[in-house]
Amino acid sequence: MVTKRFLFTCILILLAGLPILAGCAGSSTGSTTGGLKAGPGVDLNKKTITLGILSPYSGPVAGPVGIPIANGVKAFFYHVNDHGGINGFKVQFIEQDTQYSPQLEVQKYNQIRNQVLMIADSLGTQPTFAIKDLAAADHMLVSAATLSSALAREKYLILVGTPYRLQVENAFDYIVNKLGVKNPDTAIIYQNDDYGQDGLTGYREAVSVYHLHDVAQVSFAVNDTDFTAQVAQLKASGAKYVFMTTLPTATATIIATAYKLGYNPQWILQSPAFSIQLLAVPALKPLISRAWVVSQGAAWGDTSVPGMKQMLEDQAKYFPKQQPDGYFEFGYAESYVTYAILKKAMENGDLTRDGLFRAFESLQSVDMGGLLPPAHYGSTPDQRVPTRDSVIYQVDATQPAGVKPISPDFTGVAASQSHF
Amino acid sequence: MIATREHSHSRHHRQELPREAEPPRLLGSPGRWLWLGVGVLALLLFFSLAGDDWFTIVNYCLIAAIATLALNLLSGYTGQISLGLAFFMGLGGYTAALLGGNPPVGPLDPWGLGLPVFVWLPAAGLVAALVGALVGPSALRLRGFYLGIVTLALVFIGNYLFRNLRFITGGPQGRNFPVPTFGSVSLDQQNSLLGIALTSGQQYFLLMLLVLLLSALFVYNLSRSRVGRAMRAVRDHEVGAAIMGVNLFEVKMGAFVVSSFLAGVAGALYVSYARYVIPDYWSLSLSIQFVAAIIIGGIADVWGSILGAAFVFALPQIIDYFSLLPPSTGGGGLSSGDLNALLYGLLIIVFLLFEPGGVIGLLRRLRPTARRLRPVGAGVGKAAVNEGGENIEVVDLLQHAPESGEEGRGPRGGRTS
Amino acid sequence: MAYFLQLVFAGIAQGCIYALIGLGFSIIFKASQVINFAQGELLLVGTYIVASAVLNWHLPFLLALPLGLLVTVVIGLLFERLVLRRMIGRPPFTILMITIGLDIILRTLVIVGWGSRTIPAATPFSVTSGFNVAGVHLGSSDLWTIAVTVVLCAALYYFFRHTRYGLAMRATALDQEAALAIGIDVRTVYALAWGLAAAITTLGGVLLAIDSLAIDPNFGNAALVAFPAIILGGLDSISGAVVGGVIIGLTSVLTAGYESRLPAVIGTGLHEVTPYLLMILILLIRPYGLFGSRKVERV
Repeated sequence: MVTKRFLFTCILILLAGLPILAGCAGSSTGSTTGGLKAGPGVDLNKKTITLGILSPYSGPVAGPVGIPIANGVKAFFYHVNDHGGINGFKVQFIEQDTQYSPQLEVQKYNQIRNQVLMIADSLGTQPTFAIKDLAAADHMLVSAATLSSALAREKYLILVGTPYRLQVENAFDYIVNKLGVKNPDTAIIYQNDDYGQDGLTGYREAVSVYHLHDVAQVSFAVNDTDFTAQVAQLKASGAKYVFMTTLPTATATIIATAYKLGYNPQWILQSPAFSIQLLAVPALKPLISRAWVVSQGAAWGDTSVPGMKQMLEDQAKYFPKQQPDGYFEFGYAESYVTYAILKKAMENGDLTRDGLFRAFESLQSVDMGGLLPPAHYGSTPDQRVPTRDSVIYQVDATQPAGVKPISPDFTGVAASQSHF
Repeated sequence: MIATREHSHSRHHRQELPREAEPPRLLGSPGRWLWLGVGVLALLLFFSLAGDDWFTIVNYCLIAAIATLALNLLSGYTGQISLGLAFFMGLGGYTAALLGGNPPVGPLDPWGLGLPVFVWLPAAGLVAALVGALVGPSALRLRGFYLGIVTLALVFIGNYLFRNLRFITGGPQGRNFPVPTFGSVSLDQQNSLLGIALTSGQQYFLLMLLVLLLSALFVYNLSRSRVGRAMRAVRDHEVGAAIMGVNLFEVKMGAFVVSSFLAGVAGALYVSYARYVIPDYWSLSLSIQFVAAIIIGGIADVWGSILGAAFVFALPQIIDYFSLLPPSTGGGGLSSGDLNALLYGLLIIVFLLFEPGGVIGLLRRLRPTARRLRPVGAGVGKAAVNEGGENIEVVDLLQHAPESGEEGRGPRGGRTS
Repeated sequence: MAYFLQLVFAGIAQGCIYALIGLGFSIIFKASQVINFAQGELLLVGTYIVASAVLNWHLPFLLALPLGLLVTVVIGLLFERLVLRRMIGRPPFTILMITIGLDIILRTLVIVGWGSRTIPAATPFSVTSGFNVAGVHLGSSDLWTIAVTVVLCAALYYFFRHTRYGLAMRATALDQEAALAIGIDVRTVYALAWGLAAAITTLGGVLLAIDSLAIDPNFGNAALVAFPAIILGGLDSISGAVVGGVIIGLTSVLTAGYESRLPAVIGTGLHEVTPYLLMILILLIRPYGLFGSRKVERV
C-alpha cells in the first residue's frame, strides 16, 4: 500500500512536471533557415514573431492607461498582419498583467522572456526600472511606455516621446520666449513620488535657465484628499503660472479648491495630469477650460497628419469600443518604432535579439506618421532621448480629445541643453 | 512493521509528558519522514525540471515564507498583533542596499559600499533587530489593536523616511541592487556547483531555501524550548503567565527583536532578488499580506507559515498562470486579473469561515483516516494499525488529534453564541 | 492670519470627515471588538453609487444620497449576517482578516463595474458657494460637513443614552454574556452596529467627494487616515472618535500648510506622518487613547 501510494504520488508529480519540461525544451535559442537568423520568439516555419506586452490589465492603472496603450500597440500590428505582415511574418503577442507592480513585472518578465523576441510595451517607470537589468542581461529590447527621464541611460530601453522633465522646461520656454513674459512669478505643485520628482527636476532647471521668479514648490501625498493647505500656499505666494505634476483626480480637486479660495492662476498640466474625463465633471468644466496641457503630437482626430486616418480606421476596426484617448495614440505611435526595428532586422537577415539591437542602433530616425514627432536614436544617453519638443494645448471641451494646440511644435532652449 | 513499532514507542514516550509541554513535532515519526521524503523528491523534481518562470514565483514565495515565520513568531506564538512587518523588512532591505549596493557614480546616486553578501545579509537582520529593540519598549506597553495600529504607524513613518533619505534609498525613484556574488560566483550567471550546472533561478532558489530552512529550524526549536512555552503562555493569558513567573517584558521583547531580525533578513533577500527597490514597496498592504499568510496558513505553526506564504504569495500567480481568460478584454469588463482578485478575496473569506485552523488545519483534517478515527480515541488506535497500509496515517493522527488543544481554541468553539 | 484661519477651518472640516469615518470604526469595534478594514471600500462603493445616481441616472442629490446609504447598509448587513455571525468567538485577528477579504472584493467590483478612470463625483453645490469672512472662505460643502457631523453626534448621543437599541448596544459592548442574560438580542445589536457604521462612513465619503469633485478607485484610502483618529480618541469611544478626528484633521492640514517653511532636511510628505506621530505621543502618555477605557485590555 505504502509503495503504491508513493508511486502514485511520484507519477502525479511527474505528470505535473511534464508540461514544464516541455516548456523548457520548446524554448530554443537560435536557428537559421534561408539565410535568416532567428532568436527566441521567432518561428521560421509558421512565420511568426512573438512580442511581449507587460502592462497593467487589472487594478487602478489598467483602465485609464494600461489597456488603451496595449490596445494601441495591438491595433497597429493587427493592421500590419492583415496587410501581409512584415515580409510575410505575422506578429503575435504574449500579454501579461503586471498590475503596475514592479515585483509582478519581474515575475511576468521571467515567465515570458524565453518566448518573446522583444517587449513591445512595458508600462510604467517603476515596473520598467525593475526589469532593466534583467533585460540588459538578456539583450532584450524593451519599448518603454513611460516618459520618465531616468530611463534614458539604459541601453536596451526604447523611449518614445519627450520626457516629463523636458515638458516642464518647454512650458516655461513658451511663457518666457513665445509669450514674452519676463521673470514671471511661477510655482509647481507635484505629488511626492518618482513622477512628481521628474517634474520638479525640470521645474528647477527651468527656473535657472529662464530666470523665473520661483515663489513656491508645493508637494502633496498620493493619498491626500484635501488640498486646502497646498492651494492656500500657492495663493499666498501669488504665483501667476502654476505647473501641475499631478494625476487627474488630484488635478480636479486642486483647481476647484483654488477657485473656491478665489485664486485663479494660469494652470499648466503635465500630460498625465489631464484626462478627458475631467471635462465630464460639470462643476469643473468651466474652471479647467483656461488650463494648458503640455504634451506633443497630433490631437485625436487631427487628420492633417498622415498617420491619423489609418489609426482611426484601425481603432474602429479592431477596438470599436475604444474612446478617443491619447494613450491609445501613444501605444499606436510607439509601435512605429517597434515595426521599424523588426523591419530593419529582417532586411539585415538577423532576427535575433542582438540583430534587433543592431537594427535599433542603426535606425537614426523613425517617422510616426505625424502622431508623434519623428524620433531620433543614438547611443549616448543624451541621444537616447528620442524627442525634446512639446506642444502647448489649451483645454477645449469642443475638441474630440478635449484639447486644441495653441503653440507650434517646438523645442525650448532649456530642453535642447538638458543632459541625462 | 517498523513503522508500527516506532509508533508505539513514540506514543509511549509521549504519554510521559504533559500535552502542553510538547507541541507537535516537526519531524520525528516515520510518517513524517515519509512525507519529508516525498517533499524532498518533489523539490528535487521541481528543481531539475522547472523553468525560470516557476523559479521566480517560488523564490519570491520562499522569501515571503521567511517573513511569515517572523510574523508568526511575534503574532502567532506570542500573541502580539503587528502590522509593521513591512517596516522592518524595509529596514533590512535598505541596510542591504547601503552595504551591498554599488558605489555611487554621479553626485545624485545613492550611496553603496559594495560589500559582499556575508556582510549585508546578517547586517540587515541586525539593524532591523536593533530598531526593533529601540521601538519595542514603548510599543509593547500597548495591547491588542492599539499595538496593531502603532505598528501600522511604523509603516507610514518608515515610508516617509524611505522617501526622503535619498542618499540611501534613492528617493521615490528607487535604487538598484547589484547581483549578489559569492567570491567569483555571480548569481545571475550560469554556475556549476559540485559539477552540476545551475541556472540563476536555481542558485537563488538554493540560497533562499537555505535561509528559510535555517529560519524554520530556529523558530521551531525556539517554540519547543522553555522560551517557546513562555511565549505561548503570554499569548494565552498574560496575567497567568506572569503569575507562573514568566517575565512578560523579556518574552515580548525577545519575540519582537527576533521577529524584526528575520523580517530584516527577508527584506534584504527581497532586494537582492528583485534587484530594484522603491519606498512604496514597503507598504501597509505588504504587511497585511503577511497577516493573511499566518492566519490562512495556521497560527503558531512552522509548516503553517510556509503554506500560508505559498497561499498568499504564489497562489494568485499560479491562478494567473493557468488562467483561461485573456489578460485583456479589449474594452473594460472583467479581466483575468480582476477575476483573480475576486477569487482571492472570496477564498480568504470562505477559507476562514470553514477552516479555522488554516491550511495546516485543513491538511490535518483531510487525512481520510483521521476523520474516521477522531472520536474513537487512542485506545482503539491499535486496532486501526492492524488494518495494514494505513498505519502511516494512524501515527500522524495520534500525534495531531488533539490539535485544538494546542491552539487553545476549539475549531467550532463559541459558534453558537 | 487669514492664511492660518483658512487652514484651521479646512482642518476642522477635514477632521469632521475623519470623525465620521472614525465613528464607523468605533461603532463596530464597540459592538464586536473588531476593526473593520473594509470600511474604506464601503465608503468607496457608496460614493460611486451616489455619483452614478446623480450623473448617469439623473436623480436629485437628496434622493441619490439615501440610495447610496441603502446599498452600503445592505452590504454591511449581508456581510454581518452571512459571514461575521459565523465568526463570533473567533480571535479578533482572524475576523480582521475576513474584513480584508471583503475589502478586496468590493474594490475589485468597483473597478469592474465602473472602470478605473477618474469619474465625476456628485455635488449639490456650485464650487464657489459659501461665505467670505475676513479673507477666509467658508465653503458651503465644508459648512455642511461640520453641521452634519455635529447633528449626527447629537443624534448618536441621544441614541446611545435614551433609546432601547442604543442602550442594548452599550450593554452588549460592556459585557456580552450579561447582555444575553438580561434578554438582549445580541445579533440584532451586531446587525445594527454594521448598518449604522456603513451608513455613517458612506455619509463621510459622500461629503468628502463633494470637495474632491472627482473620484477614482483609490478614494477608499481616505479611511486609512482615520486610523490615528480613532486610536487617538480611544478605540471604543464614540466621542473619542470625533475629538480624535478633528485633532488629526487640524494636525494634518496645518503641517501641510507650514511644512515647506521648515528646513529642507525635513523633506516632503511630513503631513502624512504627523497624525501618526501625534498618536504615538498620546499613546505613550495614555495607552488607551484620550477617551478609551482600560477594558480593551482583555481583548
